[in-house]
Amino acid sequence: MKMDLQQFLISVLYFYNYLVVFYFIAINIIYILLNFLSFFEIRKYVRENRVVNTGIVFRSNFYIPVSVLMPAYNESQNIVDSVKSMLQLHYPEFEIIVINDGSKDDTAELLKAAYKMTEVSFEPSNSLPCKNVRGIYVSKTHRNLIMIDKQNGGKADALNAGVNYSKYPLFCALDADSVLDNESILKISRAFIEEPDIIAAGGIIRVINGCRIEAGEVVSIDLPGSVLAKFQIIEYLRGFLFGRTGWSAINSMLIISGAFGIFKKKEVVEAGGYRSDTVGEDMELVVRLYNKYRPEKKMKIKFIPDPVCYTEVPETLGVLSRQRNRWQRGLIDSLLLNMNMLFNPRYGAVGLIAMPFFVFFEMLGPVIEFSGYIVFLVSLWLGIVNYKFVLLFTMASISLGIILSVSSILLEELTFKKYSSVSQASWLFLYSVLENFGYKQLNTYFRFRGTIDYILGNKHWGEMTRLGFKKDK
Amino acid sequence: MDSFDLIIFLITVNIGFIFLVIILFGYIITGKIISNYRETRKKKLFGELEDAFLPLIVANDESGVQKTLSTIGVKNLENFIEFISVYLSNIKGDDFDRIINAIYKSPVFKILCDSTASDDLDTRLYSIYCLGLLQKPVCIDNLLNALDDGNFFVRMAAVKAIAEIKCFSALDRVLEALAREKLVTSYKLSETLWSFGEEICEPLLAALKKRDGRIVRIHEEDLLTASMIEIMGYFKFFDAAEEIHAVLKETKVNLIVKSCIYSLGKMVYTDSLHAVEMHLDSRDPEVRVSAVKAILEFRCVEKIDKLKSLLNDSDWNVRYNSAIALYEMSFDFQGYMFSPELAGQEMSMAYRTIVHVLTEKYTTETEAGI
Repeated sequence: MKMDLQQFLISVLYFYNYLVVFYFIAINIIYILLNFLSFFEIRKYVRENRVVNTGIVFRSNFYIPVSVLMPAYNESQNIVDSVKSMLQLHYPEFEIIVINDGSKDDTAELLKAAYKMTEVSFEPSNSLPCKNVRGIYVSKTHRNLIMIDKQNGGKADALNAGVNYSKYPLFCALDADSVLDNESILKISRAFIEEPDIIAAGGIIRVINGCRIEAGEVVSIDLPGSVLAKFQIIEYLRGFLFGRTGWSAINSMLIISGAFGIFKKKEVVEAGGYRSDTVGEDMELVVRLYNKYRPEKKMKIKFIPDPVCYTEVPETLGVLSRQRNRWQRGLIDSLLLNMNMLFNPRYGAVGLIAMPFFVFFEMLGPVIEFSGYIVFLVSLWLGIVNYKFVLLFTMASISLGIILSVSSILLEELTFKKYSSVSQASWLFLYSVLENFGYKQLNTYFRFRGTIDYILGNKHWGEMTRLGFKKDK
Repeated sequence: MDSFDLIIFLITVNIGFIFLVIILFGYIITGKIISNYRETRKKKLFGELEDAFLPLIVANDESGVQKTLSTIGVKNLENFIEFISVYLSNIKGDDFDRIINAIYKSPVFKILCDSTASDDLDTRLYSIYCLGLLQKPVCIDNLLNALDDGNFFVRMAAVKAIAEIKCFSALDRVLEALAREKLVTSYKLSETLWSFGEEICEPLLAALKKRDGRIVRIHEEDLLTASMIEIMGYFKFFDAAEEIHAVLKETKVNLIVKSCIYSLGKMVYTDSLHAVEMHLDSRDPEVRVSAVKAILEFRCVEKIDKLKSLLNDSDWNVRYNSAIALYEMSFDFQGYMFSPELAGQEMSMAYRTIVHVLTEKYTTETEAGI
């Protein structure tokens, strides 16, 4: 009997080892395919934009006005600068709505003082569910600046309040600490005019740490001093330039970053707005939009690689772990709430490709990877697998990881070239190699913890510490 | 495959990967060095070209500029064209014309025309783009040939360049090309038509009049008709008002209805009031909004009662725009809010919309110091 159990355990270990190898091969094949898709997609975008004149939007009346929504919770450190940056956007018609989500600091007071805000009585244009709105304020110095002061209800709740009081057909959801490139809205909104089927679009998020900011505008791009922030530059380049571009190419992009996304208000309102009972409200909304509209009508959700939004990334392990934990919980929630789309041909590539990928590789990935490390070590200890095989397999997996990371830098260099010097490119290359020795594994652990926390029912947002832009001046 | 073979296979894979990483590193760094070198060279060339153009602007020395262009311009066409595009967009009036003429009379112009058929894609793209900026109809044949180019981006650049040159005789070819690309979104159409400038209105009106004509037939969706009508409205081309009015009366397509109402409003063609006001009761809120905006353009005080009733519309945009229209038409909001009609109805949509617009306007006017 004891022998049978031992045999059974060994068989399980064998099976698990094969599963991990299969997982590794499958995920990397998909990544390589995404890489190729992204390469052609970005090249096409860059070429097309040589012959497109965004200035025409300014001169003509062929633009769609945009409401920019900035939820703010305890953002006193950045809020005045962030709003200043937004007010400098190059766009013919837009309004900025800051939603003070019951901040405990003086976010609201700072805004009122800086922009001479006065209370008004506005009628909401929609009635998405949100916590009690205490007051609406309009700036006397900038007629397109509005502040909604409301009871705390979280980011999704704040965005719903913003949508309710917005007056334009498109709204742009931002983080209060985001800094947009001046022409970002112009570039991203063009997609909505050119392709009427688009109901949402996201731009690229770049790391602001290390950059020089003057008057709310990024004037020079440099690498941050923090090692952790440098790793995240590689991660963001990889995630956006070849991850989202690739998914967008097959119209299956399930995530638009909460830091910068633009949506058609009508469709979002019809879909019920943001859900405030999830920590991944940005992804959940996008997946729900597919769920609601994909079977009924031609619709697209697109990633545009050029419009840039800069955001501050965590520079300490504690904040990073909380952020990744939350992202993982948000991802699981978004997928589980829309599981009817999995392998459902009514949803096209979303149901047959993107959902299975996200469920099996993004949602379950951390569990398979993390347990894979343990099983590999146990198998090695028990002598079930050849140590040479383990070593070489690990090397191959790390090398492939390096190739994928480096290829995202290559994509950046072939297109947007934001990091201009040879030394910056060399540093990025070095960090794209180094991230495979510890950083990626650490991230897997954070996401694994996120999965455990999700199972345990943790729905906390997790405290995010901002360093603020001023230090970079 | 036994375990030895597997190990050999993995070793080979690893060596391959490592080589690939090294190659990628080399490619990125070499690419960076080359692109930085090109950037420096470009800056130098920009400086030289600027030095050549300045005397032209200051001393009207056309021959000197032509000489400089012949030596500098042809050496690096791509950078030259980039310089021209940036430089020209910052210059206006006589200086602009002088520079254009200098380029036109220099050998560079012929090189640009010939480059539209170059083997190199970038050269084709840049030269076509530049010809659009130079706006010389003499190159139209090169651009028409480019409409049949194998590359989509070249074809689109040619479409735009022809529009910039305002070559109306090529309008049919342009629209056909756009339709063939299946890229005829309203924006692309409007953008192209708009680039032709105000003079496009006349041929558009002619095309609209023969609604069974060639241009309309090539587009099966109504997008083209709507774009044509909007362009005429944008330029306030009053000659088309009657025809657009006729279209409004006969069409049942909301897209065209909206564009007609928009244009008639812009043209302040009050004869269409009856046709427009019928759409205040449309089932499509966007059509209702366009009708409200047109009524405002007409300053039609007789419709104030209708606008008042729209303050209770189910759509916020209709309510908001009706209130704005009433405000702009100097409607006595205060009297209305205290009238028996709205008494005790502070929570009604009409009341709240009025308060919204009044506070918004009050804040704006305070800001402007009115």
